[in-house]
Amino acid sequence: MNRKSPFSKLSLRIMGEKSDHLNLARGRLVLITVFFMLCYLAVGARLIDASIIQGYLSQQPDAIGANEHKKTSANQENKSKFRSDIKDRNGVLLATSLKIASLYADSKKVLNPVESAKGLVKIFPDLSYGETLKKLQSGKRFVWIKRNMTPTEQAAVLNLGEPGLVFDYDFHRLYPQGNLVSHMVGYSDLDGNGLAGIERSFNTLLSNSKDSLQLSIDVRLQHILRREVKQAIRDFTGIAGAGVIMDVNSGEILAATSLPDFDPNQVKYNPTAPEMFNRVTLGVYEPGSTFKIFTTAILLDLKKPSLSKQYDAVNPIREGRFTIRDFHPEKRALTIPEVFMVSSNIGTAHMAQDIGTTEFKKALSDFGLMKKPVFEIEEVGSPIIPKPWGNINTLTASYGHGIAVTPLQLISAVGTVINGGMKVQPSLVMKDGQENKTVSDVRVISKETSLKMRQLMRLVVSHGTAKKADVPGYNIGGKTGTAQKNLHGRYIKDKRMALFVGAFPMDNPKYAVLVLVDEPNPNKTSYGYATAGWVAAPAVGRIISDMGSIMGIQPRHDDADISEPLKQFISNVKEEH
Amino acid sequence: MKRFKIKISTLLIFGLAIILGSSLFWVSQQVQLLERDKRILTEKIISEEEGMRVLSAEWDYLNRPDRIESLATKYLDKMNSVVPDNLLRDARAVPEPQILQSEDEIPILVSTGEEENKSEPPKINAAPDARPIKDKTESKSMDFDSVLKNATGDDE
Repeated sequence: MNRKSPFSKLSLRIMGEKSDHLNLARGRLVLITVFFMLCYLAVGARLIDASIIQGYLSQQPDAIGANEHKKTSANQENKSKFRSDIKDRNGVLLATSLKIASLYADSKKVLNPVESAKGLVKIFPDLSYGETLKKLQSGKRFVWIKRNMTPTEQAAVLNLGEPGLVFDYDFHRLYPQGNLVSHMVGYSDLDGNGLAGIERSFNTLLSNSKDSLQLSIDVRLQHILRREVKQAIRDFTGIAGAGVIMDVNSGEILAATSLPDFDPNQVKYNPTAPEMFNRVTLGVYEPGSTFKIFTTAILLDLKKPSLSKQYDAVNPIREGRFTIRDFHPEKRALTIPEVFMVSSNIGTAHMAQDIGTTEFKKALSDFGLMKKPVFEIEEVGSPIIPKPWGNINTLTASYGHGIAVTPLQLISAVGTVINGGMKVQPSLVMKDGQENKTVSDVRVISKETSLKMRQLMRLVVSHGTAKKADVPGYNIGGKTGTAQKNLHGRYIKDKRMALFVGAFPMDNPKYAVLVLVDEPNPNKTSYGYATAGWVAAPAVGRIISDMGSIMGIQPRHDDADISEPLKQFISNVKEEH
Repeated sequence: MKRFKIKISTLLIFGLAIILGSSLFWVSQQVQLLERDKRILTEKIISEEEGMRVLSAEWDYLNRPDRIESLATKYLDKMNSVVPDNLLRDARAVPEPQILQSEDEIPILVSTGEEENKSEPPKINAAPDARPIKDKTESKSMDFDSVLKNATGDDE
């Protein structure tokens, strides 16, 4: 107590009666002071954090996100969306979305406008130096320099090291395969909306999902098909063509091409141009003699006649104002295999008479030929069916005249005939899991009829109108069809459509191939013929030959020809040209 | 004499509050740093993924069947395209590579099968001619950058 403290005057000793209360009050005061001190400490710490630490972090060069929020909101509205990829059955990209950079300048941040402008003009030769320099010196915070550049150009711009040059990103749809699969995959507009094909029918899925969509198309087969259809069109100076390869058991479309086609990367045609028209699914054509496959199958399935049953092919059939004649008249009665092999219209019309109109129509609709097929893309055509359907329509439809179907329907129905009689549902989207390829359980014709039809179709290739489609060892079968073109209800004599549907191997069919050439003209090598046997059949032969080695199908030269049992029903038929 | 005393527990609580407060501050700083790292990494991953997308698009563009075919006809003129009869059921049927001894090096020659072909009967399978079409408009090869340019167009 004796100590002299400089603060001794300040030190206060409270004594007396009320000292307890006063001490309590002082204690509370100290408490409040400490509380406020802590508060100020917290505020101070936060200030240091906000001004020094955060400020330091945001100045770091890699502080991504520090000033991200400002610019993204500006032009988010008119950006095209990401769309998920479309792939083929082996995972090859058919369509993809790439993030493409566009360049703008924040001229307030530009350090060296002259050097930067020089550099930019070097990278983009289409920019003018003066214009670019003006933009860089304009003082504006946002001025476009160049829209949509490649990654290489973007890297070159980054190498300029100019902080005032800023990128903005946007998604663009790219089709690496170009023209190859154009009609099936389709295309989309700049805003990322699908306008045709799979792009259109799966628009919602593609724009919302991250997972890619896998199609059943195989680009290698697609290429072979497109090349050979193109070759056939060129050889016979046709105007257009189409081709399909289908797995006859699962109904998967392995390749489908329609020529002429377009490049989905730069669609320069209007939607009604011939290039944009999908001849496989939207075009309806008179199938000509290929329809005899169905007439014969229906007859064999319903009436179960002996194959030796003969049909008159001498006298043309007259019904009303129509006369049904043969293209290669044999002038004698023909057995069923002969009618099919030489493709006799008269014989087939007689078969249809045996079947009867009601049964015939019912069977055709079982094959799915009477109404619009269900398919994964929206551009699907409805078949043209005669209305009203009289007796004469049964006769002409039996050999594919007066009725028009899409190539897609035709190949599906042929698949149904040869795969053992189960209905084929065409599909373009890959089913999940390789093993899950279930054959449909709807039976259309019996197994026995299917076997007979395979023998008949093999006969056409081994001895009939389609010898040029044969590839030794592959047991190809098929049927040719040449139809006169119908324009505004009148048939034009020298304009035709050559069509061939083939399948292989005929003892256990796996794949069907269809080739169609529109308005082929005879050439030197075809001795003046422009029929399906000369135009479409060789193309199918070449396709199958190339396709077999890709699919790893071993040719079998020792196997007996499955058309052998039919030889007994065939007597010397005129040599076909 | 009674004088003001701060209870030891009060002091402890204050001390604890200060420790807790500063450790909270430290943790929040760490979280912010880690979040920043994560943001950078995510950004890098996204940009790598974008790069991979571009590269895989370029890869599939360069592997277009028609390009491969035209390159094969240009550079592999001795090798014919595969015909169905080239397929063998058994891998053992592939001829053994012949090893030729020379003075200082041992070149390994893989048999092209030509020798064997001469002794064998002529091919049964004369496959239909399936050579590629030489199409000038199509086989002109564009590099990937120009394809990208075409695809993106100029939608200014």
